[in-house]
Amino acid sequence: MLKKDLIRLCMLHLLTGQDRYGYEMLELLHNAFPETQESAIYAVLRGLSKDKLTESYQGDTSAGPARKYYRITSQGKEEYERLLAQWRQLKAAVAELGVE
Amino acid sequence: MKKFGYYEKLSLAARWFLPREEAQGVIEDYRDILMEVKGPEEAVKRFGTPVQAVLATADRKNIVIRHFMLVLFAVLSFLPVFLQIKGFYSFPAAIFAAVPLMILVFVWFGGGKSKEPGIPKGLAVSCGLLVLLLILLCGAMFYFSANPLHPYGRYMGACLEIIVPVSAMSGLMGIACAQLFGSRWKAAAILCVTTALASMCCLSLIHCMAPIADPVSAFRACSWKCVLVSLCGMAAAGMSLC
Repeated sequence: MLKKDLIRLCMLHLLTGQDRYGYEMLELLHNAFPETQESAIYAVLRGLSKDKLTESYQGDTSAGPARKYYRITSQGKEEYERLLAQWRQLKAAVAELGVE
Repeated sequence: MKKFGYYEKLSLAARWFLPREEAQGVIEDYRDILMEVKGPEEAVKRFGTPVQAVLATADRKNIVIRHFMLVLFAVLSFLPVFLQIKGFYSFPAAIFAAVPLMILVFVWFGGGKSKEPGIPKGLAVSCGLLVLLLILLCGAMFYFSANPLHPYGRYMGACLEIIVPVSAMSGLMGIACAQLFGSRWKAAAILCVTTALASMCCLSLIHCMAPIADPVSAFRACSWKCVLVSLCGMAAAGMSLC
């Protein structure tokens, strides 16, 4: 599992809970992966949209500036399950080696 | 950084490196994101330089193809200049470069109706000046073919020698503008190529080594060729502006 896939997994995970706007996603992901530049994280976010795993809509402007929100699609949920299974497999394999 | 902020630079970089629709999406996303960032210094720290930020989203293969096309446009634009430097003033050779260039520009930047709203003022002025130059060029050719002994006739060749490289350079700039500011700028590029082609047509006759039996008729025929080339170029430019 590549780091890019791990970021994709985290993004999809964040979106399964609630819809989020771009900057919020970048901040959360950058906190989890501080050594990864935010433009690279944005590229992953854009990749999810391109692969139709997420879709965007213009959010409500009453609480501040108009923001583009992202939500997960049914295809995205399938991909999330696939990546999650991969991640669990990897974690188990690493734990078997005694790495904690 | 002061005059051209981070967002403006990123917009230009996106239009240069990414396909039009993708560039628009990236520009809109970054407009939202950068509203939350304090200033250009923080933006550079967090996202890298505008070019780096755009390249992170770009497909490498696509970038290579885009730049290959630009090199091809440059080669075809400067082929008449190269011929001029070599002293080979051939109108058919100039056509050989100009026609594929115009077709490629049309195909690359889209030949259909433009989705962009309105014609930019700069483009309208550039196209107006180029059309005026073409009319002047054709007019001068007709005038000097009717008055072959006019003292200013000798300056015609010198002017054309300057017009060819300037048109080639301007044509390339038009192509760059079409990439950065909207596909309608291809009209300016097409008019520049037409100007270079019409100039090359006149130069091929001026530098003709073969003896000409009836120079007046030859110059008149060349003038009509210039008119035909100009009309074709103007029609193509008009279609590009739609």
